[in-house]
Amino acid sequence: MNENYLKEFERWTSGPKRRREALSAEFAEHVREAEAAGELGSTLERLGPPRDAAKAFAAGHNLQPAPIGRRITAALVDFAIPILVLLGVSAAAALILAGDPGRVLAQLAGDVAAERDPDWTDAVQAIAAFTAALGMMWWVVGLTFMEWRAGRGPGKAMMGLRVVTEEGIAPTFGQVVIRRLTLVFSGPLQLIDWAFALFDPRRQRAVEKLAHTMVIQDDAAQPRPVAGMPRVGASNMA
Amino acid sequence: MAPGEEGIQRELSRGTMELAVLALIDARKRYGYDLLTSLGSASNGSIAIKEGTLYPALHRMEDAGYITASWEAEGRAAPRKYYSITDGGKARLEALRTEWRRLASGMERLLNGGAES
Repeated sequence: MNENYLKEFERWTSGPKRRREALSAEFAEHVREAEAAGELGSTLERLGPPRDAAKAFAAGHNLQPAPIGRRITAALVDFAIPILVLLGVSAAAALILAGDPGRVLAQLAGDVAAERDPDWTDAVQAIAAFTAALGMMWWVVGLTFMEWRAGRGPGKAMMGLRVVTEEGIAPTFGQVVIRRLTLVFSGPLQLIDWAFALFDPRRQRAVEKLAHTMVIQDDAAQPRPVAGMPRVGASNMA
Repeated sequence: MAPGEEGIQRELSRGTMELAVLALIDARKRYGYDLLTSLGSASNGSIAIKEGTLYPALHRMEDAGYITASWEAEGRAAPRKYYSITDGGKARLEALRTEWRRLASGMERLLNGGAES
């Protein structure tokens, strides 16, 4: 058995560890039987690249689409994280740079009471701008990267959700980029995109239909290991 | 195989996959690779499928409750994942078998020139 092939197969499996182990175990058993029958070469040729093999062994199981409420909560969490960081860092910077946190707070309170602009320093504004830029990086690059590598960002992880392909394997980078195209949409278009999910049996937004991805309830993902299943990993394959 | 024949065979194989797999598993429990090779040999090569068709079909039938899976070593070093038919699967097999025979008989008459033959 080609260890790299199994590693690549495992890389394309998605979901909780127990699901990925169950998929790998069935795949490894199939390949082992083919090898014992002297048919390994033709079997691997039939299976194609590891991603196609992962599709073959993952497809067919029911994928529970994530409820809209949990998806929206997850999106709000991901949206809120950089804003909270921005507020926290800016406030901390204001207090630290002023050298006298009590005076800064009193001054800001006084400015607010007098309806004057608070006396922000250039440095604080620069830090706020830098943090805002980091926030944009988070939304555009960070979340895209996390969904590509792990199938989810913090919001989806908190809500027990994951992005997978329609066959139930990990999405490609291109698929993640397409499903995150919503970022470039303005208000009404974004609403239309989400409205698709309300009426779609797989709860797919319009861009998710384009990307052939969906968001599922991670804890309900099949298959689950059954008694007697061997532990399989690229490191202990022959 | 003539051009296009493989595609026709694939389409017909897919249509009969559930019936064929349930019939094999009804006789005795089977593991995936065994099913793959048995489908070809038991049907004299007329049902030729790939893993990408077999395993999704097995998973669908498992989720539907027609078959159940268990890992068994049976004295071997490496266990196999065996699929067995359930009571629901037996009922499904009977329904598919009846429908298949009705369809096959109708098609046979049709291919022989129609109702009068």
